[in-house]
Amino acid sequence: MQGPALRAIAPTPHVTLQDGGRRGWRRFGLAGAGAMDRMALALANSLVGNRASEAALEFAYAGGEWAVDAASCRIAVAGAGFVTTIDGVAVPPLTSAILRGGQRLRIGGSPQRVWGYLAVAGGFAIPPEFGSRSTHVRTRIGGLRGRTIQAGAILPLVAYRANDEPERAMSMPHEEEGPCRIVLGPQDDFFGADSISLLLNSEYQITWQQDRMAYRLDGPNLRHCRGYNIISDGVMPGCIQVPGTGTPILLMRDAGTVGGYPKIATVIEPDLGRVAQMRPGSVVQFQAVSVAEAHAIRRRYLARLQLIADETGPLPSALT
Amino acid sequence: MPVGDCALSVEFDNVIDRQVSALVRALDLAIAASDIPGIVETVPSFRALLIVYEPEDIGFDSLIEQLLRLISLGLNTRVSSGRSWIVPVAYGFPDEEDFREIAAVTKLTTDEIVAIHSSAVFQVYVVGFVPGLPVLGGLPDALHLSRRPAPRPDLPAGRVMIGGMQGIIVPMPMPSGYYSVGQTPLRPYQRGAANPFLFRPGDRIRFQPILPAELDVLAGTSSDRFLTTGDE
Repeated sequence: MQGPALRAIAPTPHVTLQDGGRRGWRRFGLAGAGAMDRMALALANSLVGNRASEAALEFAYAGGEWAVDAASCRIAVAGAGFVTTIDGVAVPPLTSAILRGGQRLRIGGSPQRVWGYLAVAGGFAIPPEFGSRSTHVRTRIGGLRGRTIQAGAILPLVAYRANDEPERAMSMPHEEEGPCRIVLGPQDDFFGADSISLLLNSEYQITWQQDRMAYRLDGPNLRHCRGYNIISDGVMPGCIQVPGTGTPILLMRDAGTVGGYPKIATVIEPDLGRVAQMRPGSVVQFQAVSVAEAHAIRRRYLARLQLIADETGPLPSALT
Repeated sequence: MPVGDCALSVEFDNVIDRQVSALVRALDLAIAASDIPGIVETVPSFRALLIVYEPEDIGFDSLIEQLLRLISLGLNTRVSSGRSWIVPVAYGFPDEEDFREIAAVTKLTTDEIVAIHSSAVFQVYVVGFVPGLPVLGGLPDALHLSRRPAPRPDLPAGRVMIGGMQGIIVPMPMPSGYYSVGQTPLRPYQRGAANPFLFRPGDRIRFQPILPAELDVLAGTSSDRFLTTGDE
């Protein structure tokens, strides 16, 4: 007999399984992958009682239609503004809910965000690959056979039925605002002072050329002062590389591990999910910080992540 | 140089050569053997070592200080020379056309191409671009040729290729602007294996001509048989 599973009735085109990403394989050319917005992943997981970096379904722009082949399953959706219903009944934002066999879960579009997460209590019974369940579609590694989730796909679940704990909810977490913080380098010396100042004092627009590999930014072109070919070296998600055209490209979670264009600066980890969530047409401004400042920001960010786990509590009984 | 808040890059001379590559690898090994806390992973490339760290476990200044101490102790490039492989290649198979194109550009006969390519000692400078792909330095000058203006789609695993001043062995289906010199039964990426990636930065590779008929015979052979020295 078939075990419990989440069934994709009408998934949107870019649904993949993602967790906290993989570590230790970059030296062999394998990207870390993992959720584009780690904070939203942690939110969805906390609401269903999972650990923060458990694998969940990540979708872009909207989530589509889902059903469960099990008695019941506790689910939660995170990513602001993704309108969620079960058999037409709205699930309040940042609240867990029970999806029963035969019911339909629909996750609509969000006017505010790009990436949303659907977490299931207990997680998916899908074996990790290279230490992670994150899907890297380009190399067909991880997730459900290394691919995006197609209509009809069956995702095995760990739990047969939802436990009878009360639903969980949390208040909207405090959202960081303001400019996106970057650390200059590692190849800022390939650019003149005028280009650095342009990067820091201009508005760059997020374009439709955004995916899990990279975001192309639209704004003043940056000029190299020493050519634009470097000997390829290691890159990280967050690196802003500038090819010959002068158009900055922000590398994301699925980007390759080595690259041959100068990297003028790198977006700090705590701000990368925030930029990843910016929809085409949004404007991003960059602010340079020192590594020490970046680490202080990181500590506050990790404390906020911890707070998500601590503050997710049972729904007040008046609401249930 | 910092690479954001979780990584830094140690850059050596701005050239691609064996000596610089050996320094990168020597530092990589020295870090692995050291007790520096907070190192998550490292990524050696031609002339730089990317070091990913956990800022909760080690500060930037402290990490730099400890790296400088390691470097000041002297990097031993002798112990960092890696493993040696003999990689069989069915030259000119199955892309005969590529072979003729290389011959036309380099003004060599196909026999000369095989002789030159199989007598060189290549070194793995980087593994990357796609998982498990070894980028090989040491391509003899006579075989240097520009890449194709447009890449060819979907080259299968095991293609041995040259382009620019480098060689590669295709680990999984991918597009490439390089020219194919032949096919090897070895697979740089073996999905599900205990050690899925065959080659590491620092490994040395010599190619040995085989007949196309031998590809199938050798396909099931343990990859250890193609190592000529032990594991470091």
